[in-house]
Amino acid sequence: MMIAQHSLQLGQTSWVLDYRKAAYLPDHQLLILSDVHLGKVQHFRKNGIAVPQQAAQQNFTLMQALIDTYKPAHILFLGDLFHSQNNVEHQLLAQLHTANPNINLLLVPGNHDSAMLQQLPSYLQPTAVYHQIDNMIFSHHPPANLQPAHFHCYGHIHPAVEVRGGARQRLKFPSFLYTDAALVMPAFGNFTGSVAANQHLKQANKALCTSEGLWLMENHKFS
Amino acid sequence: MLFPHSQAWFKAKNWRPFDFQLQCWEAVATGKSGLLNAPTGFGKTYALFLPLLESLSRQPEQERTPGLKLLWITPLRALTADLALAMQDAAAGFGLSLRIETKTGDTVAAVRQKQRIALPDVLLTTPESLHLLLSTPDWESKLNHLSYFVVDEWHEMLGNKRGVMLELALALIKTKLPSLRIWGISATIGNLEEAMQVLLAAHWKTGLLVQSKHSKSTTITSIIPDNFEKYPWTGHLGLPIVPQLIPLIYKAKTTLIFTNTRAQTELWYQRILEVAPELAGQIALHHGSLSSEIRTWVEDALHAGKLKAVVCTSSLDLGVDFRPVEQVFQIGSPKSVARFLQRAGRSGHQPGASSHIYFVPTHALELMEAAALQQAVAENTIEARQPLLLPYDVLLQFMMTLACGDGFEPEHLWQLIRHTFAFQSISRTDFDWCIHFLVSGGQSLEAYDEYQKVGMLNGKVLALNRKVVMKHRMSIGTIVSDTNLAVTYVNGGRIGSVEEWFVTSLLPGDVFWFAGKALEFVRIKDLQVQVKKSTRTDGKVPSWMGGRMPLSSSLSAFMRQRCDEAAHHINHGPEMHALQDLLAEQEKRSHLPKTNEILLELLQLNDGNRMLCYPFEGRQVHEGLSALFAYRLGKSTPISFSMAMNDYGFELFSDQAIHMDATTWEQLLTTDNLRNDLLASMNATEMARRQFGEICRVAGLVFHGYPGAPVRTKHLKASYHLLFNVFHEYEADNLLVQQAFEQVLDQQLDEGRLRTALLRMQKQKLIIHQSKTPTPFSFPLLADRLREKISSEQLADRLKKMMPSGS
Repeated sequence: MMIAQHSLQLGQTSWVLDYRKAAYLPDHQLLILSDVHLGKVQHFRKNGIAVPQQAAQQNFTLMQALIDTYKPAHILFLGDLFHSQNNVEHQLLAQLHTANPNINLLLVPGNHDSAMLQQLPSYLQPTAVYHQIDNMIFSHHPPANLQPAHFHCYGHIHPAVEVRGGARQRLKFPSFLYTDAALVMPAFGNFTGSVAANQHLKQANKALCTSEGLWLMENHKFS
Repeated sequence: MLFPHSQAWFKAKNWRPFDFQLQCWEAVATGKSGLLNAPTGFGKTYALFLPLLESLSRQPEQERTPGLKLLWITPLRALTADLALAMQDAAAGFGLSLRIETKTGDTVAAVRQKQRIALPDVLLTTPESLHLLLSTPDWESKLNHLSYFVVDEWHEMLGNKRGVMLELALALIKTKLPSLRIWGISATIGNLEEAMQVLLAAHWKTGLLVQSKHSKSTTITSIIPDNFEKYPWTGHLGLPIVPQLIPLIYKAKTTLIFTNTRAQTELWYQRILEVAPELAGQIALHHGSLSSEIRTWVEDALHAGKLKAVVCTSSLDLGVDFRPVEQVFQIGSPKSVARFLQRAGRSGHQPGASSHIYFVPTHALELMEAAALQQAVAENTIEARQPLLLPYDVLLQFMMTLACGDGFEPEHLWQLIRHTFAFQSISRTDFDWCIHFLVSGGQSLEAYDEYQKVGMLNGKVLALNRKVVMKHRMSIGTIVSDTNLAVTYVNGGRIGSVEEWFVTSLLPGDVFWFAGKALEFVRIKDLQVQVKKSTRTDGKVPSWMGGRMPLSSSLSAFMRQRCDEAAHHINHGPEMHALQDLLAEQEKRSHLPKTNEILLELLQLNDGNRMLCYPFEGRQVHEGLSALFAYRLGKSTPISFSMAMNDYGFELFSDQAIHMDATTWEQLLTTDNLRNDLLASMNATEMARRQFGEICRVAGLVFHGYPGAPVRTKHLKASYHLLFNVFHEYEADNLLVQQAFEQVLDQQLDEGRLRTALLRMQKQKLIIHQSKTPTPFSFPLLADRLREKISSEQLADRLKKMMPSGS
C-alpha cells in the first residue's frame, strides 16, 4: 500500500517521513531536508550544458508545498544545500525566505557547502558539524561511530533502494533508511543522483519514495 | 595510352589493371564523382589513388602547388598506416616526392605539429579527425588545393552517425570547392545506388557507380556435430563442438575464429586450449576491450604467420589483410548475409584465391540458419544499410564544431544541411530549435540564467571562450562506449578494459578470465582495476553490454522457406538432413508451419501458462511483437507477462490463463494505433533513457573531463539517467529526447519491419496447438533466462509481487 506519510517513533521522538523526501519532527516543529544541491542546474548551464531550469524551480515549489502541509517553525538543511559557488539560482532560496519570513532556516554544513560557507545569506544560520537537539545528532556525513546514547540523522549518501523482480525487472527509488539508532535521509534535490544503498545500514527498514507515495519495507522490528 | 604513368608503373610491377581500375581512372580524370564497389584484394586503393599521381606526373615539378590535394577517410585508425605505406610505395614508383601522412589519435605530436603548419599532399584520416580540422579557424585556406575526397569502407559508416558526420563535413567543404571529386569505396550491400546518393548528396545524379566484374568465390561448409542426437537444442556457446574443429585448425596455415561476443571469445579460447593444450603459444585472442598493445601484437603475429588461430569478434571484421589466413570459422549465427560474407572474405586474400568459411552452429536449430545462409549467398541477396535520418545530436555537435572554428551564419547552414541526405526533411522550426538550444540553452531569454556556450557576433554563431572550444574539441565524435575501467597489473602493464558494472560485482580475491588469463582482482585505484595473475582455473568471465545484432530480414525470409520445405518433407543439403529427426519431432509433438501458416503453441506447464509464437523474424522484431501482444492482451484485464525471445520466435509467460482464439489474434495483429501501442507497451521510456546516453555524449551534454584532471570536473558529473529524467520531465519538446524515442522505434524495435511482419501474419493461417509438453521449437525459449517483463498492473501491485516480504 502506498501512503503519503509514515508516522513513527525513532529514538524516543515522534517522526513523520514524507514521500516528498522530507522528514518532520512535530514536537520540535522542525522540517528536515537533505542534499538539495541548490545551484546545480545553473552550474551545468554555466558550463554549456543546457539542463532545464524548471528542474531547479521544482525543488522550491515542493518546499513551499511541504511548508504549507507542516507549517514548521524551523527548516534544517542537512548539508549540501548548495552545489557549488554562488550563482543566480540561489535567489530561489531568498524568495523562499521572503515568502516565509518567520521560518528559521538552519544549515548543517556539508562537503558541497564549503564554497559558500564564507558568504552565507544572513537569513541562513549555520550550525555545528554535529547539531544536537535533545539526544538527537544531526550531521551531513555519516558519523564514524553510532553512539548508543544518541539517535543519528544524516544525509550525504543519497540512498536509494533497488528492487529486483524476475525477468530482469529493476526499479530504483530514493529511500529513507532507518533503525532504532539512525535515520538516513534521501536527497531532496530533483537534479541529484541516487545510489543503491540496500546494504548501507545493517538491517535497516526502508521507506521508498515513489511518485505515488511511500512504500515501506519494514522487515526488522526494533530492539 | 591514356594513363601512361599508371600503366607503366603497373607494368613494372607485372600487373594488369582490372576493368574497374581503368573505369575509375577515366572517371576521375574527367572530373566525375562516384562509388566503387569491388572485392578486397583487387587493388581498390590504386583505382582511386593513382589518378592523383597520374595528374601530378604530368605537371612540371616547379608548377606543383604545395598543400593538401587528397583526403582519404577510413573508419579505422588501424587501416590508415598500412594504406599510407602502400601509397608511399606507389608515389616512389612514379618518381614523385610527396608527403603522405596519417592524422588520427595515434599520430605522434611532432607530426601533428608539422601538420598544423602545413598539411601534407595526401592525408589519411578518420571522420572525427576531419571534424577536428573543421573546428579550426583557418580550415578553409588549408583545403584550398583539395581536389579528391575518398571515403574508404563507406558501407561501414553509411548506417551510423559517423556517416552523418561525413555528410555534413562534405556539404560544408563542397560549398568552398564545388568541383571536388568525391568517391566512396563500398563492399557489396543491397543498396549501392542509395549509398552513392547519400555520399554525393545533391550531385548524385551525375555520379558514376563502378562495379567490378570480378568476384571472389566463397566456399561455405557447415559443421554438423558428430553426435547430433546429443547436440543441445539450446544454448549460445557451442563449446561441445570444439574437439571436432581441432583437426581443421591443423589443416590450414591460419584460421580466424569469429564469435559474436567478447565473452564468447574468452570461453572459446580457454576451451580450445583445454582440448588441444599443445596449441598454447600458437593461438591468440582479439577483441575490442583488449589493450591496443595486445591487439597490435596479435595483428603483427598474424601478418608474420606465427599463429595457427585467433579467436576474435567483429574487432577483426575490418582492417588490413592477413595473408596467412586460409579459412574462417563463424561460431553461431552471423545474423546477416553481409557480415557472413565480410568475415568469409578475411580468408584467401590474394586476387583469384577463394574464401573458405565454416559455419559452426551453437545449437541444433541454428543449422536451419546455415541452410538459409547457403541460399542467400548463392542468390547474392545482401542486406541494405539504412542511412540515418535526422540525428539532431550530430547536427548540434556539428554546429558546435563550426562555432569553434570560423563560426557560422544560421541561414547559410540551413541552406547547406538541407542538401544532405540525413537532413533533407528537417523543418525550419526544428533547425531553429537547435540553434536556440545551442545559443540560449533552450530557455526563454527573460528568465535569469548563466548559460554559457556560444554567442552571436556579426550574425555569426561563435564559441564564447577558449575553455568551451577546448572542451568541445575533446568530445568530437559519435562513438560512445560505456564507462570502461582499465585493467592493469598491480606492478604496471595495461591489459585492456572492462565495463564498470562488471567490476562492481567483484570482491578482492575474486578471479576472472580476461585476455585469456586468470586474473585475481586486487583493488580499484585511480579508475584502474588492479589485478595479479592467478593460478586458479575457475572464475567469472566478464561480459560486455554490446549491442545485440538483429537477424536481417533477408535471412529470416530464407529461414521461413527452409521451414516450409521441411513441412513438405523436402530437405535439401546436409544441414537440413541433419535436422530431419528434430523437425519430425516438432511435427509429431506440434506442427511445422508452412509459409502460409503461423504457429501458436499454448503450453500449460506446472509453473504457469505460455503462449509461443514463431514468426522467424529475428530477435529484435520478436522483442517488439511480444511486448505489443502483452500490452494488447493486458488492455482489458490487468495481467503481468514475462517474455523471452530468440531469432525464431517468442514466448509470453503468465501465472494467469492466456485465452486465444481467431478474433483475439486478429486484434493482436492490427496495425491501427501501432506506434502508440508500441511506445506504451515497451518500457519505452526506459529504452529511450538508454538511448539518451549516446545522444547526450554526441550532443555535448555530458563531459568526461580533461585527461588527468578528474577532480576539477567533479561538480559537473551527472548520469545520463538523471539528465534524461529532467529533460523528459521539464522540456517535453526537447528534440534530443524525441530523438531518443525515435531511435527506440526505428533502430531498436525496427517499427517498419515490425509493421511488415504484422501484415504478413494477418495473411497467414493461424494454427493453434495446445500442449502439456515442450516442443523442439519451444525448448530454447523455455530455457532462456534473460527475460523481459511487461505489466499493466499498478506500481504498488508490481512492487508487492517483487517484494513478497514487503508490508
